Amino acid sequence: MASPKATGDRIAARLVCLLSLTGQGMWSNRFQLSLTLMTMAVGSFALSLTFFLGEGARIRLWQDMEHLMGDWVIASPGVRQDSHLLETRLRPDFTPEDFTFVKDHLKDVRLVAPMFQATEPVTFRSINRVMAVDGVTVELSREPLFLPIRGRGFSDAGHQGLVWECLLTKSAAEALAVTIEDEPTIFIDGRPFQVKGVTQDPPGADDFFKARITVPYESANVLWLPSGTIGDILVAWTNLEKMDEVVSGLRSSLEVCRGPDTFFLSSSEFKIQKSRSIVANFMAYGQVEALFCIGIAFIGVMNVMLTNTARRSREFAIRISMGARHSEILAAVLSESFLLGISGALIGVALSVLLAPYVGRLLQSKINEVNQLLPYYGLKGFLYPILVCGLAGLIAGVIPAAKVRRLDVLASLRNDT
Amino acid sequence: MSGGSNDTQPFISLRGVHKSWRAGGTRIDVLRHIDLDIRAGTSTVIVGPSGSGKSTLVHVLALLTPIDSGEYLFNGSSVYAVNRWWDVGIRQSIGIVFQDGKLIQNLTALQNVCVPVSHRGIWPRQQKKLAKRALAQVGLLDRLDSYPNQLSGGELIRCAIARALVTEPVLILADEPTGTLDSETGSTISDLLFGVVKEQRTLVVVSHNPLLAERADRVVSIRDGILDEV
Ligand SMILES: Nc1ncnc2c1ncn2[C@@H]1O[C@H](COP(=O)(O)OP(=O)(O)OP(=O)(O)O)[C@@H](O)[C@H]1O
Ligand SMILES: [Mg+2]
Repeated sequence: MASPKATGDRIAARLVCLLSLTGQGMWSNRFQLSLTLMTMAVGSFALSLTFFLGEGARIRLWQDMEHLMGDWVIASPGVRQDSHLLETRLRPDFTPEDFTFVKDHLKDVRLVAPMFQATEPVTFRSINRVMAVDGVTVELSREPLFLPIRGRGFSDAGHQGLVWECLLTKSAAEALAVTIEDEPTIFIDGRPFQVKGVTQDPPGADDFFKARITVPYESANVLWLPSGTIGDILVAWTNLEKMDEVVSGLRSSLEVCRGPDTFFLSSSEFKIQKSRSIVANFMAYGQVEALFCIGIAFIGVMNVMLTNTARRSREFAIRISMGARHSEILAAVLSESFLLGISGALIGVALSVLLAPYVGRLLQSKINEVNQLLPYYGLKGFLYPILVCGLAGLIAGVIPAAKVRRLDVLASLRNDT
Repeated sequence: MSGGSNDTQPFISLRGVHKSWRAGGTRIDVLRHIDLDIRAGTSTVIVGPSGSGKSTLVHVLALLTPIDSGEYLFNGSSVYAVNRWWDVGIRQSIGIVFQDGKLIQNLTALQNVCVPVSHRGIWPRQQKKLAKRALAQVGLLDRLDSYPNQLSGGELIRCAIARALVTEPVLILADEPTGTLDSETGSTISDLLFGVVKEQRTLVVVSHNPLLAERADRVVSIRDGILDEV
């Protein structure tokens, strides 16, 4: 009776019947199911959003840091910026003695230079922006990043702090609508600066990082630093492998001349590490919350499936007495709860794909380290929620299915509903 | 399944079958070491007072409940030999009409009749064809899309009979098919059931209805768990 083709056909027909049995069950309980579906969708939404945004942030940070910092390490006075409580005390700036001490003790580095970093309000005609301002020394202004691509560099008088000059990155010039040929005057923190030239944007950085203003260190020193102090100390080296050596040399010499906990170091490596840990935290919290939601949805699915199978026990008993296998009923229950999980997951993922850019924009204001939170639609964000929710649905169906397995046919036939 | 054309051995035979129910702390012995042989293609009516175990006997025959002791031979082989009472193969060759029809409430008449064939690896289109044929046999073609609560008592039983017939089983069990019906409807049902037997099927009916008892090849009574020929 059973040619392979006939057997295959039979199996296919069985599958169709299984699906239709599942469908019937779901349809007859559609209102309750759609509510449970929503809880599952919320969990899956949270999970996939965590991945989309987390990955996006990770990639973003990586790009920014890598391009912006290069092989530099900057020592800044004060304690680490993330210890907010300690930061309220007075900013203990570096002294020129600190600087010479460090410079004398650090051998084999390309460059040790004072630097100034701040953000200041910038005005040109009717345009107002807050922009990053870098104060660079003569040596630093010869670095490729600070070489003008249009116009000229600083004059000697500018370097000596006698006249106030500045360079704009391309983006900054565009943002302020400055045409360099006229050597116009912009206002930084209310003071007039003559725009001498335009430099390239920091490669790969986003809009906020791109728009920067460079001033001679001397001007910054006069205008924004207390007299007799140094802003930051910048150390550059050529060989990337030497970073540990440079950092430990810098740290030990600063500890000798200033004492511990009076400075912090930042470099591409540190920033990436710190940012990574921020993103890792974000993702961990996100995942925990999402799994929590899925846990609740799991209980919901189990609950619905239990009441559902109890409600349908008479129908199941009838089917079994009409020749259905227990295993068929069991499979219908399992596939129903699995489908619940999967469809919840799909709805959640679809919502998350739609809403991730907007949520990213909302979150962006909360995470300082990330300047533009664009979602990254990686495979993980799609696969994990579907996997987790599908599994949750399947497992949630196990206990109801086990109840069906032990179904007392005669007793269930009796309860008329 | 051969339908049991072999005349030397009975199609169904119960040997010393004992079945008891446990209700609370007490044990009710419903079937006491019953022996029963039913030949293929015959019709048997079982009578007995309420609570005497008629339905229980039907459920045992339909393999819906295990027995305590004894042996059940179906077409010559023991149903309980290797845990076979779970074997859907045998259950699938039996059609059963329950005491009150027992249709699935949220399915239409057509869908209800499709249920047995839907569990036998048959495509839905073919299921519907078979179901329509069975419904035509019981004269319910005009009520395909009615739900059970839209059917009269007689129609319900006819629908249940169609559901039992749809798989063309070798054995049909019917538990009080005319129980609550008026005599006219009862005779329609009895016409149906005994019309069915003509097609080489074995029929076992539980009934108080003299109409049915008259037309049966054999009447058996059950009282206090003991079987007697009438
Ligand atoms: N699943 C069960 N659990 C416990 N006791 C049961 C069960 N099924 C039947 N009984 C008991 O077994 C006895 C026989 O029941 P059964 O339904 O077989 O009687 P019956 O002859 O069909 O009665 P009626 O003519 O009223 O339908 C009754 O006392 C009943 O209470
Ligand atoms: Mg009964």
